[in-house]
Amino acid sequence: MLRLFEVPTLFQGFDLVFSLISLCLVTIVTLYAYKVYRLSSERRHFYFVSALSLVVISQLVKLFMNSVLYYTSFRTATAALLDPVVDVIPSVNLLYRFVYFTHFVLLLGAWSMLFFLSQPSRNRLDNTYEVIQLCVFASFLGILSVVATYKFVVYALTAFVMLAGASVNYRKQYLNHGTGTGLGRSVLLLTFAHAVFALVPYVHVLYIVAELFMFTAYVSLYKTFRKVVA
Amino acid sequence: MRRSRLELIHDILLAIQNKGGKIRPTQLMYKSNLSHKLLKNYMEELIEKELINVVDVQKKKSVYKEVHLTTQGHEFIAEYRRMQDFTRAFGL
Repeated sequence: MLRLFEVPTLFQGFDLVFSLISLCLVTIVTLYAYKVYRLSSERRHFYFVSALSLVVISQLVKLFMNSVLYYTSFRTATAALLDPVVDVIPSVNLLYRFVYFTHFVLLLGAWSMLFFLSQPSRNRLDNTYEVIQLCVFASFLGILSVVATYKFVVYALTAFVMLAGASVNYRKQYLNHGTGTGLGRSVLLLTFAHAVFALVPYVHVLYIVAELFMFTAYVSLYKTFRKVVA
Repeated sequence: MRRSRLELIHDILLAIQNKGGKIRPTQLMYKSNLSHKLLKNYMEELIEKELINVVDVQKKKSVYKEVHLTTQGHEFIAEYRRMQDFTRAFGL
């Protein structure tokens, strides 16, 4: 069966646990961010909620695919569910590609939103131009995600570039205004994670390191939230 | 810099809180830096949302109006502060 990257055998199953905990943590932050957005109705809050929601959905998609890969019962249930359209789906590889395409496009969308948010507000375009810029970004990310379903490294490097840009912006923001340290820290950890992800096709065991970086980034995000809201 | 609607509401409620939870309308107008017309509009909205209430106070022979901050008003200020901290912490 097609695999974009190899998950080390000893880590199989643990990644599901990490994904599940990350999903819960990000969902809590997303719900509070949505509450803030409803109160303020500001566009920056809307973008933040969108970015977090995309991460939540992508985690769900990843959880689904990994469960199908690891557990026979899940595999049987999915096969039964897809049975009526089995002729439409020529192979399980197509399903795998489709799920990972969705995962990539959602995550790249989230990272581009974070990059967009990390820019100083004067550099953000507004109204129609902002929407056009987002549409152009979305189309690029769609194309890149299709390519990424053939070469995993394409996703990792694209995400790395976007997150590295956002990290630099947050660093500048911290030096100029002393704000954004919480999200900046999480973005930096995500950058490290994607730098390591880029090496996974060559050194499989690095997948564990990358996943741990991702997990730490989500925990750091939740810690920032708890510090403020507790 | 122009204040947003939410900031204006917060400033009105904070002005009342800083005066111990009750303030006269004229004083409120000065403390929150708003015109009479604007303050009237905002006050109507805040009364409707039960964040403040206006009571008639009798002192000797004169009767004057006083704006009181409700429990929901206090909660709004606390929630607004949390929201500001959240926005700052996440660099939004």
